[in-house]
Amino acid sequence: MKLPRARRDKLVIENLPEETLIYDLERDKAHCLNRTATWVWQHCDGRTTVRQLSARLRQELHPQAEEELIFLALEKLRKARLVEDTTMRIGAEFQSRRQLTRRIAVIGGLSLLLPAVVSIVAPTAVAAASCTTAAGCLADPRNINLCCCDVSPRKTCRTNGKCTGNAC
Amino acid sequence: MPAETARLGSIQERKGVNVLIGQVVADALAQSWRSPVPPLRLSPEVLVEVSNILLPKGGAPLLWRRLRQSEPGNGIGVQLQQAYRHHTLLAAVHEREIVAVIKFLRSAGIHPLLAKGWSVARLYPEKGLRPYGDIDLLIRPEQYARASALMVRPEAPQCCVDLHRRFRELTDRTADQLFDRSRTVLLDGIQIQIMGLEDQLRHLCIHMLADGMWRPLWLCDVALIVESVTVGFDWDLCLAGTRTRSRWIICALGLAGALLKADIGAVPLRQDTALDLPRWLVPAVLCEWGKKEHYMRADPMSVRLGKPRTLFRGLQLRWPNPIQATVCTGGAFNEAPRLPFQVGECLRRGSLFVRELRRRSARGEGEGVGRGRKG
Repeated sequence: MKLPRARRDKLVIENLPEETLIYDLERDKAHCLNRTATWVWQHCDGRTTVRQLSARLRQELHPQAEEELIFLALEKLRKARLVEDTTMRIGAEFQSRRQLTRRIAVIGGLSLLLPAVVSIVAPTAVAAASCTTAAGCLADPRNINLCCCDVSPRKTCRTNGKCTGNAC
Repeated sequence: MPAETARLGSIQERKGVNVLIGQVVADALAQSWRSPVPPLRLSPEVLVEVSNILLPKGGAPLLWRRLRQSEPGNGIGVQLQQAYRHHTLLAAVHEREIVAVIKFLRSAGIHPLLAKGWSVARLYPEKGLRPYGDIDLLIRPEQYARASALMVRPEAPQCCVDLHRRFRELTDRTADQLFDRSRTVLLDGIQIQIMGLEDQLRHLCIHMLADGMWRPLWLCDVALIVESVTVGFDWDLCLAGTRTRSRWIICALGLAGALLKADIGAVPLRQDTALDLPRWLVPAVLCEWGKKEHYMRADPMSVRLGKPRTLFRGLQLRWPNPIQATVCTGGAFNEAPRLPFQVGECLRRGSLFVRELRRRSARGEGEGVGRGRKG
C-alpha cells in the first residue's frame, strides 16, 4: 500500500481555530475538516506510515488515539479527494466503515475525536451584489459574467441554466 | 372603495411588521463587528426569522459570530455556520483574485485603487464576516480605456472586476484627488492601494444610502469605520461638500449609533449639522431590513413584462424607499414628506427603463433590462 500524501495543489486553504476550510479549485467543492481530520491531512507527507502517524497523533493530540482513527480519517479524506493516491484502499483490513466507527467508539469512547470531513454548501444565494438571477442571466448573454452558482463558494458562470464551473 | 381601504390597511400593516422585524435584525447585528463580540440569545422562532432575512443579504456570518457561543447547533444554526464557512472560503478566493488582477494591471503600468469589498472586509476581525462580490477598481481616467481592453483579453484573470473612472457617490472628488489621498496596505505580500479613510467612509455612507440601505451589512461597515477612526482622522474632509451631502453622511453615522449601537462619539457635530435624524429615516431603514425580498435579487422587469401577475410584484418591489428616492434625486434629509421624491425617482427610473428597452430592442436584444438601480 502506498503511503498517504495530502493533495496540496489547486486548493485554497483557510485555517480557523477549530477547523480547516478547504476549497478544491479543480472540482469546485468546499470541505470543512475538524481538528482530527486536519491533523491527519497536514501530516500525510507520503513518507509517514499509518503506524507512525497514529503514534504522533497520540503524542500531539489524542493520547488514546489508535490506528483506526487514522484509517477513518484517511478514508474520509480520500473520498473528498484531499489525499493524492486515490487508488489506495484505506482501511481494507476492516470489513466496513460502520464496524470501524463502532470499534473506535468501543476503544476509547472518543466520538468527539472522530475525524470529520464535511461538505460546505452555500445555504442560500451568496451575497454578491452584482449577481443576477438565473432568469436574468439567460435573458441577456451579456449578463453571463454576473451569474453565480449558489452551491459553489466561488461565483461561477451559468450557461443554459447549468454551472460551467468557470469563474466569472 | 372598501377594497382599496382594506388594501391600504394591509400595506400599512405589512410595513409595521417589517419595521418590527427590522428592529430585531438591527438588535441582532448590534456591535457584531467588535472584539470581543457581545453574545446574543434569540428564541428559535425569532432566530429563524432573522436568519431568513440575513442569509441572502450577506449578514449571516456576523449573526453567527454573535450566536456561536450560545447556539446549540440546531438546523438554522448549522445553516448560519455553513454560511460563515462559505464566506470565509469565498474571501480567501477573492483575495487571490485581487492579487492576480492587481498584478496583471500593474504589469501593464496601470496602478488601480481598490474600493469597497476587500478594503472594508479587511477591517473586520475575521475573514469571512463581510461578504463581497465584485472587485471595484478605480482607474485613472487616462488609463481607463487601456485597462478595459486588458481585462477582456484571454490572459486576464477570470473574476468579477468592475472598473471605474469615477464613483457616482463621489462626483465631487476627482480620481486624482482620491489617488493622492490613498493608502497602501499589504495583501499576500503585495501592496494594494485603497482609499484614504475619510474618502472611504464618505463613499460607503453615500453608496449605502443611494442603494436604499437594503443590506444591513453596509451600516455595520460604517459603524466599524467610525469606531476605528483615530485622532488624525480629518472630519472636515470626510464631511466636506454641499450641505445636503454632508447631512446625508451625518445621518448615516447617526443611524449606525441609533440602530447598531455604534460609538459615534468621535463624530464632531457642529450646530448646523446636529444629529437629529428625520423622523421618517429610522422606520424607513427598519422597514427595508425587515423585507425578505429586494429587487436587486429579483428577476429583471423585462422578464416580467409579459406576465401581469409578476409584473405587478416587480413594480411593488421597485417602488423606491424614501432613503434611496431622496438620495438619487439629490434631495435633503429633512422633515418634508418623502412622497414627491419617491414619485420623482420612479419617473426617473421609468424613463431610463424605457430608453434602455428601446435601445436594446433596436439591437434585437430586449430582455434583461430593469434589474439595477437605474431600472
